Amino acid sequence: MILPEYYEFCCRVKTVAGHRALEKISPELVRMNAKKPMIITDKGVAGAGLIKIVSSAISSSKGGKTSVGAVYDNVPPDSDLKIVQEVAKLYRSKDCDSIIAVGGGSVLDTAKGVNILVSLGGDDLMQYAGSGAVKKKLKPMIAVPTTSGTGSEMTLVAVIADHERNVKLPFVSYFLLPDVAVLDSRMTRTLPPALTTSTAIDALTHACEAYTCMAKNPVSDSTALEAIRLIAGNVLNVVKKPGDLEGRLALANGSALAGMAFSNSMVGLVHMLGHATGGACGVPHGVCMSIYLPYGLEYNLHKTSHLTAELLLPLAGPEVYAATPKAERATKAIAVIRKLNQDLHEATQGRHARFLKEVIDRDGKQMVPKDALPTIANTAMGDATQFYNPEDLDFNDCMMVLEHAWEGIPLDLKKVKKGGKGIKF
Amino acid sequence: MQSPGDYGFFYQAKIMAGTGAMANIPVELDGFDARHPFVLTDKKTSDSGLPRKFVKALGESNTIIGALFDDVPAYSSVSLVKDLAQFFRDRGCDSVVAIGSGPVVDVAKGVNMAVSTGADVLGFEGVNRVPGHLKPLVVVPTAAIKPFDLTGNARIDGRKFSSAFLMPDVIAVDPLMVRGCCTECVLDTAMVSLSHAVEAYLSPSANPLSDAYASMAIRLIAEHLQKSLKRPGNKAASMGMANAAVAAAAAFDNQPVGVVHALGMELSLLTGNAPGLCMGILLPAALEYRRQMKQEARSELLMAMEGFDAYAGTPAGQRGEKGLRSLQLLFSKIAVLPRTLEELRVPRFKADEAIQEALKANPSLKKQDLSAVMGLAMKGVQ
Amino acid sequence: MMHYNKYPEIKPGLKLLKRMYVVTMLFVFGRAFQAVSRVDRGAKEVFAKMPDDFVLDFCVVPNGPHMVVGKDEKGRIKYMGWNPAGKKVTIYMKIKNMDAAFRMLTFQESSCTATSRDRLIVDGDLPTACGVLHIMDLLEVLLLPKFLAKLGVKRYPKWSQLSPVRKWTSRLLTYVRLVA
Repeated sequence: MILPEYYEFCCRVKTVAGHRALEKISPELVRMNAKKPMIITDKGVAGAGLIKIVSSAISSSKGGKTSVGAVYDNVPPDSDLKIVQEVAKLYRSKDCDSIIAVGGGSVLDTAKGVNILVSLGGDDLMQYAGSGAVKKKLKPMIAVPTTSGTGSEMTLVAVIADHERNVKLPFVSYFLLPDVAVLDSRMTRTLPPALTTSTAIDALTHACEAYTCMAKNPVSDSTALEAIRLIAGNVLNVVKKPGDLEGRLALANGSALAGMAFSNSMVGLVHMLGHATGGACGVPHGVCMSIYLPYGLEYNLHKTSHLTAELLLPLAGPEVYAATPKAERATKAIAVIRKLNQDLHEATQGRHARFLKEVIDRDGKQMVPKDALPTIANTAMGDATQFYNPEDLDFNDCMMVLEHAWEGIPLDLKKVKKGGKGIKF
Repeated sequence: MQSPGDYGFFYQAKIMAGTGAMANIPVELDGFDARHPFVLTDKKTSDSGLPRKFVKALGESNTIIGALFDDVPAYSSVSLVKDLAQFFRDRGCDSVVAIGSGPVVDVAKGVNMAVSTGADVLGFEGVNRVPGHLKPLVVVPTAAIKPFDLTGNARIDGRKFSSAFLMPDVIAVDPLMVRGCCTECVLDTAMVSLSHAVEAYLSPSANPLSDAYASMAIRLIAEHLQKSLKRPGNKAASMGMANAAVAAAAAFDNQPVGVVHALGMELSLLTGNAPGLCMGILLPAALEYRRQMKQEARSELLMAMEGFDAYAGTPAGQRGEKGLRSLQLLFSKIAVLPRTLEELRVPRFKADEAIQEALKANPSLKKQDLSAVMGLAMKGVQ
Repeated sequence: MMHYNKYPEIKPGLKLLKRMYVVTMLFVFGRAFQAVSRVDRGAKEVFAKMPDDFVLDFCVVPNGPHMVVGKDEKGRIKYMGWNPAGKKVTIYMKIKNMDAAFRMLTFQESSCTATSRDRLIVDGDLPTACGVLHIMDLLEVLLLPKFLAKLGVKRYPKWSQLSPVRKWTSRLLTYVRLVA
């Protein structure tokens, strides 16, 4: 086990998981001296009937000590300051004392912003923007993720847009973390196949990158390996049998573990290109992740083949691992990921994209034309995740990877410019 | 594929481990809006000059140490906690730092309960009685650190306090502080960590998160124990053992108490032997008992003990057995470890008393299991 | 009753030698930032992408020292001294403590290693921060002999990426401007 010269690991979130985990929300609230939570969510989640399940789980709990004080179910995908202020107003008018965020990234970011306002007072979120500006315990907050991928319930960052001034404000503080993350199989049961695959591979990417990038540490290693095992072993089954609650729960667990790993060890090339592709062409994050993951591992092979080789065990199981000669395990691991992408592509009737040129939007239009690649590469150069990648990348390197990923051909390893072994990690 | 069942997991401490860990404490305290820590340690730690290193590491910061109280006795008392709480208030402190292990950390948790709530700590005795978040608590482990210290538990005056709010907020594992002083001290910590990790790993209620920490602890101990025993002052080995203690704490805090821990703690209290020695004898006995009861060992134990290649290279049906054997081999290699409780001169009546006490403290354990394990430990395995 | 006097308040001391070294290095780095922005093609490109109001405060928390670098009215990179007071800082890069700063500036920890060990806190626009770190890598390559710089950067540029002509011209000119 690699023990780095220095590392930090922190997960202040309590994880509660199971097929009936929602029923534990009420006792958790009581433990934190809260009894009137406000539910924050979006239209999609509410429309799928998930809020009903959550509410009834809260009110049906024994003792009846808690009841939902208010529900705000109109968080848009690009939430902003105004929404945060609006929700905070509702929270105050209904005298709530805690927050339950049900949904994905945007809902969670909004909820974090609301929590700042209702805990610290006022209507001005700006003064708390930046790193470490929130220095006090906020109101109790519980996150209920409805996809198994983002892991945003485990991250201490919130990004809230100010559409009037056209800026995105980052908020970074441990106090923004939810107190509890509730993983319940009922919450992801109705997730459509394409979303299931892309979010699951998103989580898989978090874990693979956490294990092979520069800020890896023993705790993130352990959680990452467990996450990979759970996701790789279950994702295909779940896509074929969407009602498989056991598999759903395993994916939710894998996602949470991956979230723990990557929020502490950070991520590299795959996210660097992924963020840029999302920014420049609007491709969903999970889709980018599944496309770039094999390329990221390939690009870093000369520095991290020993680590990538170890990924083969949780990815493919001990039999395959033992049967593969040591020198071939790293490339085999990458091949297994490509095969997984291919299988998912077939299982979703082609909706799970394997290459950049395959990515289409709702109207069937290609989302990443080839001439967009330079823009993506340029944006990528401003992404901070590059510093956690074991090998350096300049604009030309990004272009080289992007071109391969667009066509869908494995990386030509001869084209990777290899740096020395000066940096140890 | 087996899915993880229902579980909860919580370990809030921020782990900062490695070179320069202590120098980062001011930034962490500042994140809690705290600049005035009340620092606790004991004479032994103080005599070895470690607190001076701590003070030095805080140089160039705005942190002012309200007081460095280096007289925490080996047996902590409630009245001391009260006095220290008053001292804390008089000096206008806003956070607690504990340098060391055992009573030092217990007292630190006690003081924190008192100053954060303003109430008598006796009211918080028991499980989940602490009403809410306390002031920030930083623990700087030394080589004698036990996983117990890094959990939400405290023992003051023989009273037990247990609450998630007692968990440290920051653990700064600094190589300047954790180098072992002697083989006994290393062995004590190692055996306690290993027992907690193995019991959590083999527990029927093991979950993916406790597994991650437990396997990390086992792996680190398997890799670093021999070196650490041979050269207690070795930096890499000491860091390995200290990290293992932290990981074992996270696993232990999220799993029910096992037979080895329950018996080991009581035996240690009753006989004055180090808890690590007792657990080091009890754990092989408990493993042997598992085998006699035909309880399957988890195959992943082998992976934690010997790594990926050994695990994958062993046929599926033999992994559990081989993992156990590997663990027993680890014990047999430790020359300084007594093999039986008789060697430790534990009389039979003390052993019986320990079983009674363990049952009283942990009603969920079964008497027949405790007696059987204790019986095996008296005579030794093999 | 407790003998309070036995346990006095302790104000941790200063680390004067480390501080002096860090102060000197930050001064050199600040001047080098300005110098390299005038002479190296690659650096010019990076700086051109930064916003017009770019002012960086690179410092050790909580008590400094600071290095303030930013664009002036004409958009040229300028070393603005050691005092951030009164300047409109747009991005902070804070090193968590003096020991970490010393380790970084003695090249025991490269900028990417320091980043992955969480030694730095960035407060501000992230793409700009990336640019700053790129410039720091470039400065290491230009100012330090190869055997040292190789330890600090992930990939020491080959001929194809940084021709000897550019390297040596930039190196010499940066040195000249640094000293002059």
